[in-house]
Amino acid sequence: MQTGDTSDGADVTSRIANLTIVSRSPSVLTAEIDSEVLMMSVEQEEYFGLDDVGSNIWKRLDPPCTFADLIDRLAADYDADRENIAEDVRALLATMAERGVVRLA
Amino acid sequence: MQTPAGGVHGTTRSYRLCGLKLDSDFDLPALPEWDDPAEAPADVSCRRGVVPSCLKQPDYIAPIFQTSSAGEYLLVLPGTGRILVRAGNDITVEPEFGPAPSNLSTILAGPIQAVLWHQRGLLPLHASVVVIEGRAVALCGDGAAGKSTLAAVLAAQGYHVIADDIGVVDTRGSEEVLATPGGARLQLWRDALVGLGVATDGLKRAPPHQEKYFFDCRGRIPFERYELAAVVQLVRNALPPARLVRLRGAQAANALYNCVHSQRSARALGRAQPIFAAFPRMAFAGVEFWRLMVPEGLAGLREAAARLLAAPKG
Repeated sequence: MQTGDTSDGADVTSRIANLTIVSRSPSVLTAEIDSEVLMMSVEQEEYFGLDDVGSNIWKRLDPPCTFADLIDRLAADYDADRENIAEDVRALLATMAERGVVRLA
Repeated sequence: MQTPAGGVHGTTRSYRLCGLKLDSDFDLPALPEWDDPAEAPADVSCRRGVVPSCLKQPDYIAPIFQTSSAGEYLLVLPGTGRILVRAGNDITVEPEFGPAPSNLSTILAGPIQAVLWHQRGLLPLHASVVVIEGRAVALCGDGAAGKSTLAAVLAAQGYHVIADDIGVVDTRGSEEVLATPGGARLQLWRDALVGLGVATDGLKRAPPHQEKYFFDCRGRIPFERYELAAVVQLVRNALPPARLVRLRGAQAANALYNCVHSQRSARALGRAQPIFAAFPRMAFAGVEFWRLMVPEGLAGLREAAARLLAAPKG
């Protein structure tokens, strides 16, 4: 879901619960190139790339939503197992939070 | 009045700064002299004058520089002096102890020039630029990356060098990204010159280094700008053999971002968004991004040059 160098974000993953509100960081810059969304947090100064699945998730974060709502919508649209999706998306969101492009509250 | 040697008007010297005329009260040996016989007015001036120790209304304060929303940039270097850059065309220098310090010309031709380009809305890369098959290739890297020596290796093979250390790129066009010729004056270490078969006798030393010299490549500096074909990130002292790896997506974007000259100063000047947008614009215009792994020594640079020239097109 993400491209380029990433870290696993394991410590952040445990902070993402069903009622966690996920939002885009207001200081993030984004650009779309081919099927990839490139973004950068103004504070962290490093580009971060998302593939088409990651980009799809990014588009669903405006307006902010709870993690559970996000997973429900993805499970419905992709017709996939909710638990599997939750695990993958939690890992991606943890990495995005570490890169300063999403906020978790 | 212009002297036959070119560029000197009394105590003011005139230089070419990527097509602009720069009048300076200070010697700037890294820059080519203004060689157009026409009495053109200066586009940029660099004058000795009084510089405040802080800006009146700074909106960003770092340990050695400040910026204001009016587009002012103030650099305060203890032991050297204070330098104020305004509106991309006005540089004022107040040396700390009166005479110009030995590192001043390096600072003016390096980070201060970069700030000036940022103020003018252009993108200065930490790069030497070479023309290959009619298009510009930016060789990027930090001070020890070997970009000047690689440019010299290519120049020895007949390729035209159009910039050293700072490669100015214009990403504002809708379809093309253009590289602006700066100069063909390379700064090379003695070992590199000896390896290239160039005697250092008669070459001017490049301050502040004792063993670094200015070397002028052959050919007049062109005025026209070149389409930028590629940005090449040099990685020095790699294990042999030399390798050229295509970069895409975030990896390519980060390679470009890391070779933007004086980017912290630029961000403080409100240039974060245009710098971020430079990569998408370049990618859209078809600029390619590569990482060139360069083994140690001049032999490594020669091998890397051969790899670069053999790069697949498109």
